[in-house]
Amino acid sequence: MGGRAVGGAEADGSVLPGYLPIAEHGIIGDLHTVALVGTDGSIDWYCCPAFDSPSVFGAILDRTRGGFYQIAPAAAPWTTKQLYFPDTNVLITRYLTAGGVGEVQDFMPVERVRGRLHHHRLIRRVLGVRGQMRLALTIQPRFNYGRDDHQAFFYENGVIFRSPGISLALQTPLALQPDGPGVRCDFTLDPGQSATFVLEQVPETYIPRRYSEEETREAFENTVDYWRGWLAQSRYRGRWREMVHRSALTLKLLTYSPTGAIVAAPTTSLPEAIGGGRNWDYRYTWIRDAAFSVYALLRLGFTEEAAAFMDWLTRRFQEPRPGSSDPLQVLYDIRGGFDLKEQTLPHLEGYRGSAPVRIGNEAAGQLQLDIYGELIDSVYLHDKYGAPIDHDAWSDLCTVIDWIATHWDQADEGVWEVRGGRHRFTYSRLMSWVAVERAIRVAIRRGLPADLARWQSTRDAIYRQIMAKGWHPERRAFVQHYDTDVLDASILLMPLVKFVAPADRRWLTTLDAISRELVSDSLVYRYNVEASPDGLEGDEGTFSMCTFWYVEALARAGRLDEARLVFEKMLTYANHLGLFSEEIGLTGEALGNFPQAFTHLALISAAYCLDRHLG
Amino acid sequence: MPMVGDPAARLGRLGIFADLTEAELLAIAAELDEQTFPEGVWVLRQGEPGIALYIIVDGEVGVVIDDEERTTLTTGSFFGEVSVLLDEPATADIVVRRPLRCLAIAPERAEAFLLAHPRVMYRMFQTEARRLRTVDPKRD
Repeated sequence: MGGRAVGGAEADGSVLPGYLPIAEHGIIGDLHTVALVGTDGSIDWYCCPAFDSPSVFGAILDRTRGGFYQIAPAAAPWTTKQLYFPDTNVLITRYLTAGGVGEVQDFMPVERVRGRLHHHRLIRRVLGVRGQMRLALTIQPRFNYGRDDHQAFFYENGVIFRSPGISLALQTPLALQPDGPGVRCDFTLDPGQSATFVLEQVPETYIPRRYSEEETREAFENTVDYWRGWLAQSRYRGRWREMVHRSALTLKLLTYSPTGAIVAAPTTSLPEAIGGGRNWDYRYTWIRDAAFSVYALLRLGFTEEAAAFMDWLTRRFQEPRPGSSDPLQVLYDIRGGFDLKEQTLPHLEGYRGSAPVRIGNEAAGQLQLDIYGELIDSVYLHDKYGAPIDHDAWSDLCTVIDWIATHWDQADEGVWEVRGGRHRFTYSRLMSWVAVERAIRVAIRRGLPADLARWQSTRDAIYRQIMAKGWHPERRAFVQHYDTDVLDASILLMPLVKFVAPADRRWLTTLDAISRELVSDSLVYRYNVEASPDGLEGDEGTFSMCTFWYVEALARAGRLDEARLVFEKMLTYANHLGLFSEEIGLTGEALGNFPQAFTHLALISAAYCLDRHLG
Repeated sequence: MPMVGDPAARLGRLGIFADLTEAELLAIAAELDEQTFPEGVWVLRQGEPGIALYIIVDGEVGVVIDDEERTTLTTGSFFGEVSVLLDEPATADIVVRRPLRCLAIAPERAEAFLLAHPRVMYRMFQTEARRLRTVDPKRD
């Protein structure tokens, strides 16, 4: 079997052989799933046909067993550049050699006709630009996370990989050669010449077809038009527009169009620390992301996406969950399913040896009381800036508020989904306060029926409790939970959700304490893991979304110069395409699942807030 | 020339044999001749009578009609079927672009072979249908 080709990307020996840095990837998608494309032209992650389907290419989790699909120069040395076709999610990887220049245009057509079979095409157009380029395609699929064998059948116009669960066709007029369980294709392009490879989910009985150059060029142009047309809806005209728009394009890529759900990230088990065990499956939709998503989408003018996501959310609190008294689950699958049983895949070594690789997510069964605040804040935002809530949804929401009124004062696993036991987290109470406070606002503004006296009493009780027990008089700061003096970055949301005034004295001393203890060269840690054990092994980096919250908190507190510098510094941690993972390591490397929706949501919110405050 | 190596594995990866069992593949390997051609030689010439049905096991050929190379055929493809089925001379020149290894079914054995292996015939029909669609994408 042919190995993966490397050019200059790993020449400095900064990573283990066979693994690109996480940030050395771009992302393409078709609103059902995505593919991660390395700067070495290798697709290292691709689940088909949906985000949460088993992987076909998973080299990012195991260089030998995961599978990959690479198009690269046939011989080293070469260097690469990667960029997006402007204002789109069409990715271009360029190869520069002494003898010539070539490029690969990677894209997945977005099919918009409802009710028709989605083809799930991943198209790679290779173009000769300058000189003569000798290139090699190597495709080594490993179906079902590398657990299923497959057969490769050669036809006129391509090959079909048939596995027990799915069949994929690689279609091209060029000659394909067997290469172990995969396929190889060596070809040469002169300037102006092109070659196209179409990977497509097909029925078992399918016969590969020949895509004409005209047809694939049209697919390319249609895909470019789709993304540009979509982005043209944005109303954002402020500073850092390119970064904000890249974040918006990324969020759209993380949307599952049949339901409107947004995945937290399209990957699983990219580690929070190399060699550590904090590896989770993020290919699900967290209720927590709801308010941030709806806020960011509405702020930018993407009302259709906000409405679709609200529709998905509304269905969640309207449907009963068998065997559970809680109105909501912490996270769901992209279709709204709630069986997210977690398992490890011991046959995969994990990114750079970071085991275990997990699929599914046990956090779904946790009690995290903050989710109701995020849910109802999104209802409030959408009711105010999108479409007014309807009667049935309001009735169901009242039931949720009544549940919160009797359940908010209990220990839970909290926003960070700790696995070291339940605590009475300040953030959980803060968001319970948000839930009730926003419901009151909607009821009053819309004149909707509600037990306002009970709701107001609950709201005030939560407020007073946080001020009494979440406040640590000696530390002069709000703390992580009621039985500790440890700080927590989630508290940064206090002024953002309008629980405290941005210049409240209690808040300003809390902000100072967070600046001293959780901020390292502008980057923000969630909490001090050593001081507040969370039941998990290993270290973690700084959390990118917390840094953006910090920016917003600084801006709202009037510390604008500081806020701007932190924001600008933070932007330098994006990868070459403007993408962020969940965390940043000590040497500035991207860690955790990639790209992460929450970070991009927080970026949009921080940019909007800071731009407005700067005037 | 008999097939060497693991004939069932080599034939089994060809799309037109995708539905066959290992025993059927072994029977075909024993039944059919395998021919090899070096790069650059002509396998067929336009107008040549009595040609065979060729199934490409490995390699690549160019299809040349009236001195113009119209397309290439690679592993899993086949040629000569029109001449065999209609008992007419070859309609194109076939030139080897990459060393060719193929199965050849003599015209007098083609009918019996296809009737004995209906799943192979069905796959060939599918390929012909795909070729028609490629020539005229609007035709369905």
